[in-house]
Amino acid sequence: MKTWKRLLGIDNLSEQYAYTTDPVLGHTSAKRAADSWVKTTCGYCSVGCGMELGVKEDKIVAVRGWESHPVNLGKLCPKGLSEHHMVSASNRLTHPLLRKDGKLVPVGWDEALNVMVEKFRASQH
Amino acid sequence: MPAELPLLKHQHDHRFTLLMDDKKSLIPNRKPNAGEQYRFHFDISTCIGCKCCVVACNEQNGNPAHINWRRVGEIEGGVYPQTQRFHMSMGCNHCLEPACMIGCPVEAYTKDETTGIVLHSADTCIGCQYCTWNCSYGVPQFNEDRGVVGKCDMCHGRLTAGAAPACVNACPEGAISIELVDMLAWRVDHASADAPGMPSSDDSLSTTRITMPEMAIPALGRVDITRVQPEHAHLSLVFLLVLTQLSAGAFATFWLLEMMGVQLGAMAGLLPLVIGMIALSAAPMHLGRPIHAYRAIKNWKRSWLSREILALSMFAGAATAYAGALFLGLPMTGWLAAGALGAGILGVMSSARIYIVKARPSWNSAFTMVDFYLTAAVLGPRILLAAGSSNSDVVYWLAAAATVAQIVNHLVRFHWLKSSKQHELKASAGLLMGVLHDQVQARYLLWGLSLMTLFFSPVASFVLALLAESVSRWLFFCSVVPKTVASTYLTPRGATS
Repeated sequence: MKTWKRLLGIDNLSEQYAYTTDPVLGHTSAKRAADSWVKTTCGYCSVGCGMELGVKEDKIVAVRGWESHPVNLGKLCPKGLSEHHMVSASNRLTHPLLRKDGKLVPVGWDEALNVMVEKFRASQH
Repeated sequence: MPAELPLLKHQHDHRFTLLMDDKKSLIPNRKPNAGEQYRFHFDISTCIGCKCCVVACNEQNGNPAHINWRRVGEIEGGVYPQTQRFHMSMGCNHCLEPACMIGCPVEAYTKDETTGIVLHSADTCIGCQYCTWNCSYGVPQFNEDRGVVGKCDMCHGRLTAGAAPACVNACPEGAISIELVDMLAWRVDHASADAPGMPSSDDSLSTTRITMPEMAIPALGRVDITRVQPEHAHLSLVFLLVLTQLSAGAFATFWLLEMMGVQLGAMAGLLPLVIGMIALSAAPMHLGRPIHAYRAIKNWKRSWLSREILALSMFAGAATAYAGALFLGLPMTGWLAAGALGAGILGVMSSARIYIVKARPSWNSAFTMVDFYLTAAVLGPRILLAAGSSNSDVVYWLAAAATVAQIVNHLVRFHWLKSSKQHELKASAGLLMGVLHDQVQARYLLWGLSLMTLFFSPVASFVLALLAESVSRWLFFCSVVPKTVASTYLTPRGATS
């Protein structure tokens, strides 16, 4: 929803679109400014590129290629370059879903695995 | 240890050494001298179309996914089996004569004196989106959430701190780099800014240097030209243009009647005045930031949008004076009508000039000017007849002649579009014959009915003509095919423009 200030044009979301000078990234969107960086491996495909995740207040806000990583030498693909958005994506699956009466409903891991085993076994006879 | 890993045995392969090179080699090692500016160099022969530059740009600038200040497109051509396809990545071309900057009514754009970078201020911008019509490359993009436009600034903040722009930094092939260009020499010869899939660099003197692959065949072109979709209808502008032209036409008719010595009623001027005023006061609704509308007269020296606002304000003043003089029974109404006529002519001309821009070929013609003036001539006399302000034969015949002229204008314009060899013009004709066909037919039918009813029921004729002109102006906006850079085969049109 747009606020009345935004509709009139008093507000142009300038804070949301501000820039900053980050000690690691240099001049960049203020959204990307991190307090600390955590080295990890990209989880998308099996190449295993080295990446660093920028963390601010326990949230992942940025990602960059791991400069000295032998696999990717600091480069990332477009998916890797935007990987931090995935972690908090609103449509990310965070628990198993099981179709009950035509609707997907969240279930526990035990129930999910039990149903899978049951269905696999049923198909093996 | 990294050196023992198998991939690094290939470090003499140029692609691996590129990755290991100092990234600063992709940006100049000094600042531009006087007479020089920064520019992009893009190497089509090395781009693999991965779009790392696009994502890195969005990350750098915090833009939502549907706004891309850097875009990757495709060009292809040839006959099987000799076919070719290449990718091209384009940001802003930081032109020597930026059309966005020249047209901007509020001077939100500046061309940075030391770097030549075309900068845009989101705080000055009022969201009129005129720059998005002026740029032949579709570079400035309106951000609906913010109510302002945004564009590539060549990562000015990074570049001036000695760091490579985000796109340059992210490219795994080193296909994008920053160079220095001698501006005077580039003015004389800027042929290497041209490439298949790119609008002519003559439009605004684009500075991006493009390297084509040596083996490229000449018959390369955009992959996306068969996918043409109607543009935004801009209903508030349809409303503004048709009604201000109606009002200008009405006051021009008053002047004609004054010259003929016809005595007009005291209330005659009020209805066209009120219609014009409503149209003008609704105009800021088109802006992303309506409250800052007053700023729009700032660039009257260069921008036709600023001039339009000035001219239409003058018209509103002159029309008020004339209508007021009629109402109060004051003398000298002939001179006041002449004032309203003059201001109306200026206003309609400024409106039309806004649309006569290189980046929108089907608007960029005299047909636009003729169309706008004829709208005034079709509707102006009719509202006098419909309101009973005049029943002079001259007014009837003026309305009839203008309607016939308007129909002819649009038939000839359509023939011009259809027989053109230029993609954008042909594609406009394609839209008018295709998805917009019904509206085109409805427009001609409405004009025809309006002619037939004119001498029997001026009110019906006025309503029909008003509908016809509104549909026609709606078609004017929808059927334009803007110049732009190549997009990909599957990019939905409008997703990034």
